[in-house]
Amino acid sequence: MSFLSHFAPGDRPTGAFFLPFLEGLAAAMENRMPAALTADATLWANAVARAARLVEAGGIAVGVLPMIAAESFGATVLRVGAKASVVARPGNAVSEPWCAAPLANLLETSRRLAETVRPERELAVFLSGPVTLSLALFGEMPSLTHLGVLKAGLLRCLELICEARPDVVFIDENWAGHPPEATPELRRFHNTLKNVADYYGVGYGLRAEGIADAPGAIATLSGLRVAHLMLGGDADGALPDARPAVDAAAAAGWTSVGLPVAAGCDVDEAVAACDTAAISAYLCGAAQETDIDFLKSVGLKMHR
Amino acid sequence: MGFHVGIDIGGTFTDFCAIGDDGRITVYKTSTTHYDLSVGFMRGIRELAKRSGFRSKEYLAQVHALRYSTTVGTNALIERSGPKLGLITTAGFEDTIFIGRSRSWADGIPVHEARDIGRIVKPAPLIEPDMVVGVRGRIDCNGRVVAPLSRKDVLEKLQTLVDRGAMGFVVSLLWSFLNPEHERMVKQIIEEEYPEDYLGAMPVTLSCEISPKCGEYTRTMTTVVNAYIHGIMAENLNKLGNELRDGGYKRPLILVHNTGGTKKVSRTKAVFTHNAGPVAGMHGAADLGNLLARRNVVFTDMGGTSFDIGVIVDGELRAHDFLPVVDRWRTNIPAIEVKSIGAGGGSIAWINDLMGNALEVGPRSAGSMPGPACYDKGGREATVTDADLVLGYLNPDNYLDGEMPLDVELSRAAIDEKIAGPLGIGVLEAAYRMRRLVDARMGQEVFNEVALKGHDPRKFAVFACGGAGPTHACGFVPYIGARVAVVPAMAPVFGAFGASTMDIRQVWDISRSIKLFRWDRQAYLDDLESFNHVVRELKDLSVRDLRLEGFSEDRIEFRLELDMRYGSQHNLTKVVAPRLILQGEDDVRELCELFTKLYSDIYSPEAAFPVGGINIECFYLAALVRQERPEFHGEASAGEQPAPASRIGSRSACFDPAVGMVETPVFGWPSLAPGNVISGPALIEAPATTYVIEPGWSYRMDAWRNGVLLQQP
Repeated sequence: MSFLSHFAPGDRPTGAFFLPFLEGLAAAMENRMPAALTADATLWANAVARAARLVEAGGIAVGVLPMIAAESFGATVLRVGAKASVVARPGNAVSEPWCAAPLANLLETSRRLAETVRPERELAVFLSGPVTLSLALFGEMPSLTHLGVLKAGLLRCLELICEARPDVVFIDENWAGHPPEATPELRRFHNTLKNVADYYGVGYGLRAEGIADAPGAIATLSGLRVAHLMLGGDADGALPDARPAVDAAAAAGWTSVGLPVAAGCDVDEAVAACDTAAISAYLCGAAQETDIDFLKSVGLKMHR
Repeated sequence: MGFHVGIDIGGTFTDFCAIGDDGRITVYKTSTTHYDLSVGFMRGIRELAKRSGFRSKEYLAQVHALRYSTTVGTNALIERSGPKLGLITTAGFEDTIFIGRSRSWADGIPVHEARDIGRIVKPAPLIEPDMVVGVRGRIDCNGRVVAPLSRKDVLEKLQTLVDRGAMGFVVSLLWSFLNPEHERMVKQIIEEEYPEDYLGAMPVTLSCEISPKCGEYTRTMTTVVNAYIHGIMAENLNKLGNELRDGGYKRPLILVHNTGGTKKVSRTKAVFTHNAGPVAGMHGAADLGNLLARRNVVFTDMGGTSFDIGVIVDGELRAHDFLPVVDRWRTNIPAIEVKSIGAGGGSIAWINDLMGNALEVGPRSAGSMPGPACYDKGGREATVTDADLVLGYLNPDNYLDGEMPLDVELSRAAIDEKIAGPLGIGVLEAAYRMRRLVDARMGQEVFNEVALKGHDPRKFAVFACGGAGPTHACGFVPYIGARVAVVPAMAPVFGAFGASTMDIRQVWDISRSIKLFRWDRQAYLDDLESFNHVVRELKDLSVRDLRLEGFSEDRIEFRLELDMRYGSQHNLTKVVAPRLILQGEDDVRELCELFTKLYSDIYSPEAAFPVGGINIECFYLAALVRQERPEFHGEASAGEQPAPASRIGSRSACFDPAVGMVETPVFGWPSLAPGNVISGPALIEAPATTYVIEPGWSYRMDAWRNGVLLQQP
């Protein structure tokens, strides 16, 4: 068993692991805009796999930016470079978001990668979460009603992804500032998604980006009772301090924590923080990374 | 230390039962992973290993035998995922499989759908009409060649099928069970044209090898079904076999057969694996019945998707009197008779607006995905399990030993939205009605299987098995006219338990018409060799086959069954022959008298008509090799009073909606001891199931930890 495949049975993965985001690099290798890459599932799957081979990544991560995913749910999204913002909210969610781009492309890409890249590389798929979608579609934190509207669509998307049998699915949340309370409604929402992933033998995790005060957020989010947490940068892209984040995750009872790294950051500190018996810690990309030397060097450090 | 492991895949749960050499039993239940059955299979093996204190690899290395009742073939039929086949039949009989036999369009569908003739839909054929060709050549009803097979014609027809994309061939010619010469010639021609070393080589399945029996429709369909699922099963089971070998298992994987035995994967005909799970359960029930000195047993198994019923008379499993249906196709395999209806924990309750908003339960099931609403996997339908949860019978924190927490609020919401709201009643009332309705349906079906088949229900013990069996036993048993139900200790995984104790057994059958008593001369058969020759032929086949599995002849036990009838009758009655070989007129007379007695028992003595002649139409020779198994020892009684520690608490449960929820004592099954008696209302939480002891019933644990439920007079 390799690293991510330990997530599903509930085991604690051991060893070192680095999961970078390579779609930016893949787009550059294909000489396309990232949006053009993710608009074509064949191209997307092939290019990401090539990029992973180039940097010798142990795992492949695929997903769409949380805000862009809102497009499949009926929002109008404006892309500016690597960022996206919602410019028109539908007020309600469409009934079959898995049939519309970009989620439809993500599903197809996941299927293709699941068939072609393993067992050489592990596969993680990122699916936008209820908080992010609620902010995008309704302009506010999710209420019980909002969750009810989102549930069927998100559940079906997750099921379709799980049918492809990736190693893990991360629910990708992006909000600026403090995380929302782990309300019973939100916890129940995650529980349903987790049950579905568990049925398919697929690991289920949470990725949190944009959070301020990482240790506090890590403790708050543990109330959702999801076992695996992957951290992103804060709203300005600043990365959390590795050691306090690892300690906070271990104290809050997470089974694993992914620490974000990016070119220019102190990777050695993050690598050192991963070397702990208290929790299973690994490195992940903070954002799309195009620095090949950096990606290779982190890979080498983690797979030494 | 070694283990015998049985695995039973159901529509909702996959059950595991391991019996150690020391007699210790380990059980486990997990959701059936329909997308890839091997996922659930390997998950269960890992868990059994963990519960036995081993790593998977160490555990598998110590397993004596893995006996597996699989649904891979059944799934392939349901999903129509088999290969494109070509059928080669006798010219003029190309439409046989499309015309079918009698009301064949109603085969394999629930009774209420079969009655709805206006909306009934014929099943999509496994072989398209343009993939059926007829070849010239004819063998008559005595097995004589009356028109030779034309090689040129066969080649032409073969090319037609290949051009149309055939990926395999089924050959079923008239009277091939009497003379297989033409079928074998067709196979030889195909193999000459497409030898094995060519990429275009395709499998050829002959009806004379799969089902050498009279009746061209059933013989052909048996062969077609076998050919259709063969490739998929081989692929899946080889993959699983490799996974097991990599995991440390060193022996062959053994499959449970619907004929009541087991065989290695490599020596199994695919069609014999259909519906093998309930047969494994019946085998376990017969075994347990013998242990408990209960020779007449009604076996019931209420799982998540279906309710299976089987009747064991005098300790023996009985094969189908009629032709068993596989998916939507009537076949002639000698399968053990088990009836299944769509009633289980996952059965969905619904409002039938065509019947004046009548409440209905099943046959549709929520399955393992999404499952009942309370499983919290996105299901929104109200199921029987939801009703049991709302009524307080199930502990939401201890379902499947706490591995699957249930959400009672989701159950309430589903029942409210789908049932209580439309009917204008309360949620509790709706849940109670759902439960009573499914109990009544099950009880009625059991009654039909017993009483309407000539048995006296009062002489039978009802075995209530399956994950939901102990929860509903008190509900459905009264409909049968019985007051006693036995809940085996292994009830929630009883199919797996039965599989883990099964012997190697296979049935060889062949149609041969022999007149034992001639109506025209009123005389018994004098040409005994005509009978004995058929038996010797079948015996040779079975010995050769079992020798290839590594068993010597002296280990094989034989049992001969015969399909018999009075001279002018259409239907057949199965008789167990008292001896294999007939040695004189007395033996023939004995057999005839046995048939007449059996016939009289079933249809009344007035219906017996020996002077009309007595014929044998089909021979079934079962060959059995007994397997070693640990002995189960009973425990001494610890007295009627349960130990205080066994009373683990109480919770509110509803046994009458007019009264509402009442505080009900809850006992822990592991802490109960043989001899303990508990009066209802009470709940007993056991691994993977909950016993519901309704008011007016009592529970007693016997020496083998089976529960005996008794209704007070």
